[in-house]
Amino acid sequence: MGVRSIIPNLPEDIINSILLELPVKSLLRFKSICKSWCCSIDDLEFMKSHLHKSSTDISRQKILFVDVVARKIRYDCSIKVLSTEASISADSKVVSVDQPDIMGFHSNVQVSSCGGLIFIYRLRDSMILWNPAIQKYKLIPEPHLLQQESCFVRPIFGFAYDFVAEDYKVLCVHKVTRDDTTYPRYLVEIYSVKNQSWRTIDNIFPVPTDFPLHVYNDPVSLNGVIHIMANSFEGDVEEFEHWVISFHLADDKFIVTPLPYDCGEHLKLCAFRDRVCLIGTVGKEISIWLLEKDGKTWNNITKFPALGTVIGKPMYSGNIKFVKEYGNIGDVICVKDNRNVLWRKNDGRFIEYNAQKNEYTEFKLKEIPLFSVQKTLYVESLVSLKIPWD
Amino acid sequence: MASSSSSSKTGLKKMLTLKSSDGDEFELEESIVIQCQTIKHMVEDGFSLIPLQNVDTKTLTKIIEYMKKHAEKTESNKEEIKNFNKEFVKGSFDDQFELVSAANYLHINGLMDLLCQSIADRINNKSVRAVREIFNISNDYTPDEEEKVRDEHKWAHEGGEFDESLD
Repeated sequence: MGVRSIIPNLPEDIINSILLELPVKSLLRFKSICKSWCCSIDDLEFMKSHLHKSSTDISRQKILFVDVVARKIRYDCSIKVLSTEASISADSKVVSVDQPDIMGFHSNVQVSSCGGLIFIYRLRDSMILWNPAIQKYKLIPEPHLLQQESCFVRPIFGFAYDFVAEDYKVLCVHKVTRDDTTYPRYLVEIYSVKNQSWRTIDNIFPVPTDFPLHVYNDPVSLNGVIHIMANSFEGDVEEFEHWVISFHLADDKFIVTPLPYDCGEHLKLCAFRDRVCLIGTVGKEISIWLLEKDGKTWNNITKFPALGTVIGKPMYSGNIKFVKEYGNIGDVICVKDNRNVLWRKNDGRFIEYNAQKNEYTEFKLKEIPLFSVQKTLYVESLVSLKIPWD
Repeated sequence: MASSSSSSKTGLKKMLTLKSSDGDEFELEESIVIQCQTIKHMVEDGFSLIPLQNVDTKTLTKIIEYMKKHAEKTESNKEEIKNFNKEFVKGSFDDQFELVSAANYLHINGLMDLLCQSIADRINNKSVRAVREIFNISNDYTPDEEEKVRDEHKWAHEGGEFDESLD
């Protein structure tokens, strides 16, 4: 000890740089070290820097699996939440995550994530905003319209952070089918977490076609914008057209962007390195496009043979029998740091595709149930709300 | 990148001298030294002998070793640099703290990131008591205050044994 005390303490800015590299659980524990460490960790700017660092570093990203487990004896379900690194490999460690005690027994849940928080939609119940890393949650009431009516089809929910208002917001798009018209109307409701209230905006959801519009679930949220995919079968030209309908939280505006005309089938929107990314199957190939910064141009970044051809299963070829047997081909989880594409097949197995060597490796994680799991990429954060947690 | 532009202009490699707080001098090519933002600015101001009053000979030797290796960085020797970095952060905590202070003062961003990451990884699983000792921090909480902070996130203190060792 005598020798050690000669060394002066490290200045606060260096301590902060070291703390930024630690996971949330250790930071919470190290608040006990001394008052100055506690202040640094509780600081709002530190929380933001830590979140930014985790969000931009794929090795710090995680994936959350929410599985609904039907219980045989009673007619209800329990929910199991698991987490592992986003760059999944065969030896990834899977941990069980303590879920909010109000999660309850729901068979119909949908999860998404943004800015260090998880948003959980539960059919006909309040929604949950949850920070699993600090084990806190807040309930969000159902939107007004959902409480009043039962004739709506399931609404589309998006969750994002509004950088201008510094507020987390939930977007809810309802399709209202009325008896007196053939074509539906869309209503938009927005929940502000800061104000703890819903606000309805009528007549702003753009419908880019005269034909019936199909709006996809699972919007992608990125930098204060929620991107929703939609398509319609254009009767006059007998072709499908696809769009991304993007909602900008800062100014309540929707913008419609057509998808590339050759984007193929089994489309899926996701986020990759701060950009919107589209994945589709064209013939026997899977193609990945990035939306350029101008918000209009789609740039094809990679193509590779669809999984079926490589691992000995029949390819999708418009064959109904195949669709019945294999459903669609699965879901991209992320593009790893080394540019390998990580995939989850419909049978629950994971695939890593090495584009340089054109090689696939297939593996399974025994802790993660093979079927019917909701999943979302997220980062662990110290994010707290401006309002008290429940 | 930097070396080709500076040497192609003059045809000669421009040399600089770094002087440690112990008075030892080290002569180095400018292209190696400009990884360090602080020195780069001094070079732009026309200095060629650079006194570093906050960095002793032992630390400066290590830092030069780092800068030389990283000046060789290309697409093909990524693995070699990775192994070098691994070895580089193996010293005692006190050595790492000296290095991180110097890297911070000299503004060598890559080295700063490397050291902060490695220190964080090494303390991640340590007990609160061990971390206090390693960083030479005295506990300024009263027992009541300390219990309150701990109770706020009790679960973060649970889940296995934490490492009490100081290395």
